[in-house]
Amino acid sequence: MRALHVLLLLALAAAAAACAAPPAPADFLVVDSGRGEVKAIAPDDSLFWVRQFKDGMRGDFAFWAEALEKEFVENRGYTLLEKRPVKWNGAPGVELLFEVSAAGRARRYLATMAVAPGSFASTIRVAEYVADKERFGEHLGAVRAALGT
Amino acid sequence: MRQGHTLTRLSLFCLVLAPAMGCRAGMDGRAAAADVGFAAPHAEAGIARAAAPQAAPAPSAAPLAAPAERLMIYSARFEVLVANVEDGVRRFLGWVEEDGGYLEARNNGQVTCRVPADRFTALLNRIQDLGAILSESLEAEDVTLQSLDLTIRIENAERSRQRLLDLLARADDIEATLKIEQELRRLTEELERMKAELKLLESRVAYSTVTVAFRSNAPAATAVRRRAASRFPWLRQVGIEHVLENF
Repeated sequence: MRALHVLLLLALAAAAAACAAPPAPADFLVVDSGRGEVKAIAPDDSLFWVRQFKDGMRGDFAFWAEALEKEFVENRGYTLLEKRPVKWNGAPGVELLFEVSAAGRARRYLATMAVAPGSFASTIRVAEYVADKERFGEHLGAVRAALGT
Repeated sequence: MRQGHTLTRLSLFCLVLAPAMGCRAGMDGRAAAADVGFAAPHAEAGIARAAAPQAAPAPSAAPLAAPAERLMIYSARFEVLVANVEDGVRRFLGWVEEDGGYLEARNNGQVTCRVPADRFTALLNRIQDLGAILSESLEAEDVTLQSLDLTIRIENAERSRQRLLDLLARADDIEATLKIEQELRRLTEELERMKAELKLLESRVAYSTVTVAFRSNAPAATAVRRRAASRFPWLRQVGIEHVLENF
């Protein structure tokens, strides 16, 4: 009976953690959050967005990492500047740094992706950080600290 | 034209006074400066950096004293390729501040600064440390004659003003007094204008102008191009376009 209670508590804690909004970088203002998602903005208009997507196909991390990189580089023409493996909430992940000209300005875009396997569907978590090229470095440390990567 | 008159007056003055002064007029500072002014300037436009001033003249302590050496206004313009424009601008402004200069104008990646003339060459030599120099130009303007002319005109105007003041002190009818006062006002205004002009000239000699246009050598950011929408729904919802559109 006691073991069942412990299991229930653990399951509830895991569910609560999954629903909790991830933290935003220290110098960002949260504009929206909930269900493992957060949307935040910095005073200089740099943007930070964490989201999660359910994956019923249950592709593994390697598959989605390759799909993400190909989509950005080959399909959309982003310039890949850097790629590094990361651990995000204990799951294997990848961090991709791109340079892109968007809305008439040179910008840098950081995409961090990890895949958490589940019983019925995997969860793909994506964190995106967009800033003007000249200002990108100013928040990079805070963004990585918020993600724990 | 005014400069021509002044020089003519100066020449006549010298011709008349030369015998009386034992032909020493050509040796005094003013004449020597005028002679130098006619010589070919050593720093003409387009010269190599090495020909820039080693120690350009400092602003005169006594503004109305005749210039004893050639007065040059130097300005330089560079176009530099750097990895990061902001870093380049910051470094350059740091050097300018160290040299006792100041920022005059900034327009995006182009910065115009004024530095003390004796730090001009040193600053130019450091610019190549910023990155690859795409173009450079150096200009030198000899303003010795202009300064000399202004100095003489100011001295003459001051003498005339003193004579008018003497006349005013002796004037005994109202009409003459009014006329003298009117002339005094005109002369004083002219004097102030010329002094301001001389001061500006001295400032331009004392502080050289350096303009640096920074260009980034980072790979040109590629424009977003979409070949076809991804077959994976979640991939269609991420990316910089989506982030910018949905905030």
